[in-house]
Amino acid sequence: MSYLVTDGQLRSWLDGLVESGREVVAPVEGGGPLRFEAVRSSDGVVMDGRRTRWSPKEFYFPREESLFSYQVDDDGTVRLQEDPPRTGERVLFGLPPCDAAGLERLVAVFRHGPGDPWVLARRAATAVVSWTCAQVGPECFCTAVGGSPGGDEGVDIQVTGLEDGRHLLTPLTDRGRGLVQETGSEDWTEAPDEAMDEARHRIRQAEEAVDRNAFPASAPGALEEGFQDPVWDEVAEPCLGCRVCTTVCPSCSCFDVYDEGDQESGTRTRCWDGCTQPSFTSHATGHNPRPTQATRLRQRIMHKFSYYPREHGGLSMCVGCGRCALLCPAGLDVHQTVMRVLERSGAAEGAAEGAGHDG
Amino acid sequence: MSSRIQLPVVGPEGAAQPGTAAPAPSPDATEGNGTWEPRVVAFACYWCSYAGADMAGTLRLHYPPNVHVVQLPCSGHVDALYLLKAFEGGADGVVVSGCHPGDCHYFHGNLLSRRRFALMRQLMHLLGLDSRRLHFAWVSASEGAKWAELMTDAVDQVRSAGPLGGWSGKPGASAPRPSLPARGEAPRGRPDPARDAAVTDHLRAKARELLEEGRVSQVVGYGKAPAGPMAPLLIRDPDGADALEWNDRCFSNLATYLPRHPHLHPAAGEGSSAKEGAEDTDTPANGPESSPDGGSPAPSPGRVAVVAKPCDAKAIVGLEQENRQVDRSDLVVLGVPCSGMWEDDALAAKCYACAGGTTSLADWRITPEGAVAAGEAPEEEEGAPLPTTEDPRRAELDALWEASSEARWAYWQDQFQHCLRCDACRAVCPLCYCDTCVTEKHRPQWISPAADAKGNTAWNFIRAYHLVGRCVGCDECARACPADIRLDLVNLAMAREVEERFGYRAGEDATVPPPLATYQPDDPEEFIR
Repeated sequence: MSYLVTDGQLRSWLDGLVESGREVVAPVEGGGPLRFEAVRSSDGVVMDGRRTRWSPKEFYFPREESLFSYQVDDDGTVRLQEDPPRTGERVLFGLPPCDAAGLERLVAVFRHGPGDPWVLARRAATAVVSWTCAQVGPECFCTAVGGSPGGDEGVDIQVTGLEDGRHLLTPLTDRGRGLVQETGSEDWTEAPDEAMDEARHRIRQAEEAVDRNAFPASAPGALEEGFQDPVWDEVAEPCLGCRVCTTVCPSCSCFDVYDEGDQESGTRTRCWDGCTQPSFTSHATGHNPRPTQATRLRQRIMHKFSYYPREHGGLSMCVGCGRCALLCPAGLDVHQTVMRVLERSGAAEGAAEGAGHDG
Repeated sequence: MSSRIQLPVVGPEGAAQPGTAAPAPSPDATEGNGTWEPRVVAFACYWCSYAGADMAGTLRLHYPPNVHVVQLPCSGHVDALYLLKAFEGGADGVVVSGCHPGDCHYFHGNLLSRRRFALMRQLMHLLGLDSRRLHFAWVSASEGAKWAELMTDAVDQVRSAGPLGGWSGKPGASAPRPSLPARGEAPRGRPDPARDAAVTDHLRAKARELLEEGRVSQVVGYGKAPAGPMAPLLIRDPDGADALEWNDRCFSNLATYLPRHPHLHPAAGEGSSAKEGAEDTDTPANGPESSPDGGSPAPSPGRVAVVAKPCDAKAIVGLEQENRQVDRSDLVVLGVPCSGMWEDDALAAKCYACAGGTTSLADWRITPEGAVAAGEAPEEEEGAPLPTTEDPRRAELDALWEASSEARWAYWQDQFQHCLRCDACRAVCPLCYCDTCVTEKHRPQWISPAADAKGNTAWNFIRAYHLVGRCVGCDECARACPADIRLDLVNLAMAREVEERFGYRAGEDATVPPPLATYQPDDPEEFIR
């Protein structure tokens, strides 16, 4: 069942969620770029569907977090303290579908092996309210990697803005239905079929606005075949080796672990890192198995479009939000980079045909 | 989390407390009693100030026991990182002391550091450090009384400033915030696209010619990107020249590609796939057995042509000046006639006060009429200089300086909290060319790699400090920053200080020594006691 809600009703719902003791994370502006932050009320929450400067991945995988700390007592006893995983209920509100999907693919990385208790606990305690996307930019390519401006991967409740300023709110999962049942209002009216049709129409319009060609299904294999291709040197030449792409990315999961402290006390901390930077693979000996920027950029692309899909049933790790292209100081566009490599192997033939932006 | 950590104060461990200064009371003990005692770290040079402190003891002079003395060989050894670590580690105040000018055991260690002290101090004040927390003094071996007086006064001042409350404490919502003035109207409108198009045509023709004739092995210029403004475009193939662009959205400072350019530095490790390709053992998990990734031909050493705006050209001067990171004779500078960069219909702040034109560094001046070799045509041909106004950020800086240190602290912490530590600021900076950045040094971990308040404050402080007297003001760091941190404002404040103090502007003359690599006997030292 879907509901028709007004802006005001959505805001009172958010206020209710905050009052219920849940942590509500939503897009806010002012005092910095448009970004996701924990809010105390619906005041100042941006609900116009614009995409934040960086993804909300830090709410699953924080920029830095303590894994454990130690303290040596006067009698020489070492006390270890592990920071327990966070379990408080949280609502991520206003995610575009690309972020919702990106965060799922990020979490999938942390499910490997024994699983990462910190990230998985946060995921388990989080409900995702996604805002279908109506603001497709020139950097967007979600449809090229199997996504959609109306995608529902990792979404518990989907909200679509309608022409008359109201919103169509649809719980998609048990968690979403439960949340609506518990915290939704009786004022919400059941959505008529016309509203559902309009929402579908708007999503289709947004899909058509994405002006990038889809990658062929053979892309993961083709990229691997092109592993040694000199084209990597060409595409990576402008890359300056920062990690703005990896920090703003919803699915980039690399981290660094460092110890800080002395003989009396200290902390082991995990913080974001990025494979595009030389120090990421630098060995203590000085040897670096990825000695050039080409090998480092290749790693990021291969992980997103080849290694990850191979392990996750063909699903791309990249969700096509395009933030990395928008913010790259060297103007590197990940869609264009992949296409250029694929063109070398012929895998992009057809796909590249008539590509407006890919040259 | 960080509150649990007690960082050791930098310096020789267990250094004896000279003079009658007893070990400072431990903070826990004093806090437990509800009374707070300031903790002051004093960096003293071995030859004069440490001996002066000893003299204070010999003379049985009294001064507060709150001072932790760290002995260094010379005040020239005092690095901005030491100040940073002291504050990070819980110091409420810092004193730096060395020999009087002329007395340095190493001839001019204190004279060189005098310039650095002025700038460290200015930067710390800009970022919101209360001026009562940082003191500088010359104390000779015979000045035991001066040492005791200095310590007494420094501790008093730090006491009046109160507990620092953590070097990177988050300011409260109620803390005062400075209000920066709105920007006035741009002194000029957008340039004529037809003129840019004509320049683009001649630029392409010249680039093609240089590549075809083999006079350069690569052209570094601008080209279109699928999203955003013009992006760097690196071409080797003459046919690629047709993708070059010149317009009012060519922001990037292309000089950043020069210090690590494989054609200019074929022997340099980083970035040279030819040299290090053989080391590449990275293969796809299921891919072919490890074979070298030497697919691309070895870049031959040669000359490189680079498209440069006047502000970018200053970076080339700076690179040449600093031990020839770039050899000017390896470069062909293609000077483009700049009338300012525009984003979202706003003129870039750096362009307000710039009259534009073509850099005097140009080997080829690309005009709407054609490419002109250096020295061939008179300057007048390019028409009158563009109308300018004062850089609007000067008023912003004035407002920042007028605000209280508490407000400045809040202003910067509000911004630093969004720093993602993506290092884009560093990557785009032409003068940030170190192979290993200080943030990558782990023994000790000078700068925390974490994107938290402490790490972000430390990084933004040291980034700015390492560019003092070197930054040419291209503002690319601020433009690249995804968190919109006003790095341009920090850089400008420091450039202004360097100019006012030492009469030096970065990027103007490659033959003079950089301001922090030299000194004048009469450099101002009004802040040193």
